[in-house]
Amino acid sequence: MTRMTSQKWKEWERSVRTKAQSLLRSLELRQPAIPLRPLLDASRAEVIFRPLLVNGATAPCDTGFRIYCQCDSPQVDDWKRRLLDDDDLGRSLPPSVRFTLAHELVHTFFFDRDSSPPRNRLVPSTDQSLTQLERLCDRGAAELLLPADLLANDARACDLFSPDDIRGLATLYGVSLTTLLLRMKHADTLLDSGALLYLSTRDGQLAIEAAVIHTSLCRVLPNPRSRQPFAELRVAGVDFSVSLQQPERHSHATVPTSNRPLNFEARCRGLRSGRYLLTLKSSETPRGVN
Amino acid sequence: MDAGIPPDSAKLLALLPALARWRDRRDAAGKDPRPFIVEIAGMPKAGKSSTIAQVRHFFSHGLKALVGGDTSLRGTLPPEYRVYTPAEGVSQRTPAQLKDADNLLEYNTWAGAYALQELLWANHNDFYDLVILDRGPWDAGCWLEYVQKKRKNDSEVPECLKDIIAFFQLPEWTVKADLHIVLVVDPASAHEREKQERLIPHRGPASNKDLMEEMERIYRARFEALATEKAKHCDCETVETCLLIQTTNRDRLSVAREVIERILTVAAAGAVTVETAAAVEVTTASSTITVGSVREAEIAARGTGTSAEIVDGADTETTAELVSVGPVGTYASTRRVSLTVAEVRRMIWPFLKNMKPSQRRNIGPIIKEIVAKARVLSPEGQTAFLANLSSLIPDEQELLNSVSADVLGTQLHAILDKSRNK
Repeated sequence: MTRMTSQKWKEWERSVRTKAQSLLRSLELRQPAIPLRPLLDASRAEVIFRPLLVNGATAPCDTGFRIYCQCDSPQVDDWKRRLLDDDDLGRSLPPSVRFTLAHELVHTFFFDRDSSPPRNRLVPSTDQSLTQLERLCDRGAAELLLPADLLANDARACDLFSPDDIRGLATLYGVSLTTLLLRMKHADTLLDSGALLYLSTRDGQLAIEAAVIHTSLCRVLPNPRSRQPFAELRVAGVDFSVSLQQPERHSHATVPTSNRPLNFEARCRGLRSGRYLLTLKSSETPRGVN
Repeated sequence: MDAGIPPDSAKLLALLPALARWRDRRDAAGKDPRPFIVEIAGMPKAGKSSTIAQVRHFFSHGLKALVGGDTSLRGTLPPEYRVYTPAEGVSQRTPAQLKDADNLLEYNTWAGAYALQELLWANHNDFYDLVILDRGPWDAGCWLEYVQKKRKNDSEVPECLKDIIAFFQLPEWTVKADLHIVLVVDPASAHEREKQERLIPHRGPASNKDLMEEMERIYRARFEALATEKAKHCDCETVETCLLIQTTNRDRLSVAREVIERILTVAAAGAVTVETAAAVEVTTASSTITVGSVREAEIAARGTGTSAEIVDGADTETTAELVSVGPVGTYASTRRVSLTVAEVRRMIWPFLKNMKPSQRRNIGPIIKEIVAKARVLSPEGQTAFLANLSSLIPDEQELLNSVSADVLGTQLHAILDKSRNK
């Protein structure tokens, strides 16, 4: 069991980032979507798609690792084919599956691979350390699937306030909108004054799945918690009455502040299952905010 | 079973499933899940700590050695037993100022109260399989009796001391430990052991001949009372749930083996008395024990190379429903026994193992609820439930994953619903 200081966790975080980057560099993976099979092969990880009680799990074995990925029986052959196909290499797997595999792959970074079977060097014992570990693996997975330099290049070529461009970016990298937005948040990318919000309908009300908010707006749009009700952000004027077929809807949004309301250009795109991608573009910098 | 295991240890290993079955039987009888609790008491230098270390190691690692590469045994047993040995209160936890003040009354009362807390905690814990208390409340009572004898003319010793002693040795507490082991040693041997373990002379209690002789008298006398009380109050009718071992001239391993065998014997007997279930006799070198299930007998027979004989009258898995599938002593049942919480916990253990401690606490009531619902299913439904659940769990010794109690609970409910149609 391991109890660790925040300093130790920072060291692990650095180590995960370095390993992810060097793995991508050594395999010369410079094109999105990042193929998964070379990464898995380099880590001596065999993937087993099968019905599973959880989304994913990793087991060390004499030959390296076995990564289990939840898959309903009818899809097993298809997903296996997509991963093994030399042209595909796992690029066309569903975003959630790609993320699960990348997440499990990052778990292998914590193993001493010189021993057989590999020995886990980080066995957390508390709620806090388990949460930290899982978060690290999530970040590592995002690092693998969305390399910062590639993402920066591609993002520059997009209009980041266009919901369709954002969706296109997520599709290009084979990741979900949640993963993309969280990565943009952690990769210090890219937004001029404004915000990107990915919303879903939960219990009849809109909740925030993921958000990127420019630092200049942090006082008027405080960094939202995951699944925080959208209503708590006090953004008024956004038109959500869009159907899936309609192009993104433009409207004007306002955020009340202590001095005067801030105006945004709001662009909203309705997605499936009561989900929305909302971008807020501010034309002015709020007073008192540098 | 791993090759190279000494025959004596192999025989004990073969009996090891008795502890899992003990939990199963409690579960089947609707009793709260809790670990098997052993209180180890005794004289200084009698070998308590080294015995505990050996017992702990045996139970923590034994199942892996027993199962080895035999995949047919996986799933019927947990991957490993979870053993908890709290720090000894007297030497590890008692505040230094009590030691320094040489106030033996308060010192031993504090240690007894600490031990009682550990005992009560263990009685309400559903995570561990085995808890071994290094000096429990009963032991504190023995030491307080020594204080009483030594200071019988001391006016500062309160008159209620005998009540304090009686409190720590109340049957209410003694029956909460499933087994009491009392280790005694000849005072001269104890002194010798203490000398051998130190580079410079040490004046611990073992070097105080008067104290040691008095303590040996007290332990032996109190043990008689303990045995009588436990026979009167304990469920287990066939095996004595307390054992006094004279460790002088005995090597540590043989003492540990005797303790382990008694733990497993009491567990096996307790398993049977909770429910008058299948009675299967397994003969080992030193004793004949009755195990709780045919499966357990099968494992025992394989391990020892001895035969397992099914006794007429077994009712949970009646002999008529048993099919001999191999050499004498290897049996399989055609009908499953009612589903238990322990069984489900064992199956999903690869996922529980890595769960956050708080989540693991939350999943307990969820599993209980699921099992209660599953038990009302038809036998085919119960079998389908287990088969469906089993199909979602990879057969891996070590599996890293992260799942919350809520997610796991939702999944289990979905599997239960799927099995209802059977």
